[in-house]
Amino acid sequence: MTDTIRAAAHALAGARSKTAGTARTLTEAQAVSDGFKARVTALASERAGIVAAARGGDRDPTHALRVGVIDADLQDLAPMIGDANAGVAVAQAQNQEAVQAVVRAEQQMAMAEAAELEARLAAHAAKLDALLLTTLNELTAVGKRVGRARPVFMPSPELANTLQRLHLTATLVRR
Amino acid sequence: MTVRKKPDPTPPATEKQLRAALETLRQESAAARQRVLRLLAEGQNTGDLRMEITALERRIEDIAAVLAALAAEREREDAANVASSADALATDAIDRLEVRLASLQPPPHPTTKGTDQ
Repeated sequence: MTDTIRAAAHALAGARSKTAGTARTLTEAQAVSDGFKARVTALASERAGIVAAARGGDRDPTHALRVGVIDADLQDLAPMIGDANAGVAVAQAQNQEAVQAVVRAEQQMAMAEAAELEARLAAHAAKLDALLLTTLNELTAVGKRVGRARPVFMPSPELANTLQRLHLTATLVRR
Repeated sequence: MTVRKKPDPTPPATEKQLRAALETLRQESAAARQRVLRLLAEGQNTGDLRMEITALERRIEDIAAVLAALAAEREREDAANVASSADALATDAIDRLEVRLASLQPPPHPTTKGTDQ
């Protein structure tokens, strides 16, 4: 039975390891995208500065050339930003999928652990059943020897009710 | 007597550096091939350039082999880490079960003599 726990643990460890990789890829993709965005912001800011200076009367002839270069850079950057954003979207989707796989693996691990506990508790309860019955038989025998008319032990109402309910349920299920 | 300190060995190139080098070499190789075609069209000798391409390809193969070995090593390390984490997770889970069951053990039989008596 512990094989189920071991298999679930392996799946969980694998899923967590994969998530670490997808999270790293996402961080890298975001860094690339952020780099392009920063470059665009810097170029746009420089362009705005030149335009403002020209409006203020600055007639530097090199400015027109610089604005042309900035516009060309911005134009070339546009598809690169598109690719970078697409890369971020793909990385996000992969990371999200990996995170969901971890959640599923955690649920499977919890189920495997609960199933193992249930099996062991059932075996333990069967042992206690036999042990309690032997004890009660011994108690009856010793009671007879000492001439006891009343029982010196009775199960608690909770135990008696629980056992009765279990017995009835099991009988109904068998039918 | 002064003891001369040995120079630090050159640190090995990182995987990222190797990938960048591989990309550069591939671009150089592609450019050299283009030049070969041009020289052929012009009826010129391509011998030197072809030797250069062969050398580039050998370096590309070497770097690719190093990268493949690094990838295989990383895969082995990942697998070992996963196995170790899985083992720890399973051990924790089984320990929890055993602690839970230990708390449900019945007391010893009243006629059983304790070992300390």
